[in-house]
Amino acid sequence: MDAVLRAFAIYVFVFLVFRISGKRTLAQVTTFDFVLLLIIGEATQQGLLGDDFSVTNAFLVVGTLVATDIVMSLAQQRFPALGRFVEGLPVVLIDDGEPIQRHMQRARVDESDILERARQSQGLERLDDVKYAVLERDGSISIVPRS
Amino acid sequence: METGEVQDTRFQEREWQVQRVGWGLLFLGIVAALLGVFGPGPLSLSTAQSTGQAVQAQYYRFARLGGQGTVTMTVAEAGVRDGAVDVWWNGAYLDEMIVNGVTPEPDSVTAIGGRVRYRFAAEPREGPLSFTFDLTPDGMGSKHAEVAVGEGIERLTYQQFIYP
Repeated sequence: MDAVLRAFAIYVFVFLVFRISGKRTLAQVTTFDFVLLLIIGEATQQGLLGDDFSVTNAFLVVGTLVATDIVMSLAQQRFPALGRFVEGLPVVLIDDGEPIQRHMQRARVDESDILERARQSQGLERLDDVKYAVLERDGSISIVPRS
Repeated sequence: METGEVQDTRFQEREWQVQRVGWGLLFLGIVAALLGVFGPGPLSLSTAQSTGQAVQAQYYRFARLGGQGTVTMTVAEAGVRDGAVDVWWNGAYLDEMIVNGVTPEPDSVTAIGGRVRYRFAAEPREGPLSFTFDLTPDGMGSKHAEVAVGEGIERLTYQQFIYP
């Protein structure tokens, strides 16, 4: 019983923490973001397994995490409003060539991030070539070029 | 559209079917775990009593290897002889357990024959006495415990199943 409750509690906590930390953290934008995710994995290990190293405990913990994930995705399918709470919405950063400063500031994305993405995904050279830039729900930036 | 190996509707339907069945089993397993079938929990916490009712053991019917296996003995005042309580365990059971600690600390732990005797100092006053054995299972499968208090006047047995 304790294995299931522990796994569920940690799932909920990690979900909430990442939800409030903002989209960029999840996208592992910098090397440090990546390292942070690694360390968080290590930090949760004790809480998940305790001092019980049995195979059964591992099965229960993994099973609970996956089952919770499945329930979440089923719930989002059934209640679309839940999807907004869980995933958030895409944020428009550049609208028809015009950067929206407030959105960029709040999302902690600057022009160089957008330019980097424009180069990588579309091979664009200048900010003027970008028609729309959108910060997607998973933290990545998608670019629509000016044709 | 020619899809060849890319899409086979029958296979895909089958896969989704198997997935649903898998989910069902997964959720069933988790409910079972919450009830205590795979380790400590409401279904697994059990009590065994000796024939004369003077000794009671609270143990986990289901436990996991390397997990929690605490056993609490409650001995009625009548179990105290000459200021001491002797709790005897069968050696075969304790061999399969790691004894992390015993509360209160026993005065002596002696191996006699195939059994182990824990001798505690005790005073027959103010109700039953409680002894907690903090055990960690060190072997898998069915385990059989035989506990006696005093010279075997009060005996109880219990069975445990240890998951890997």
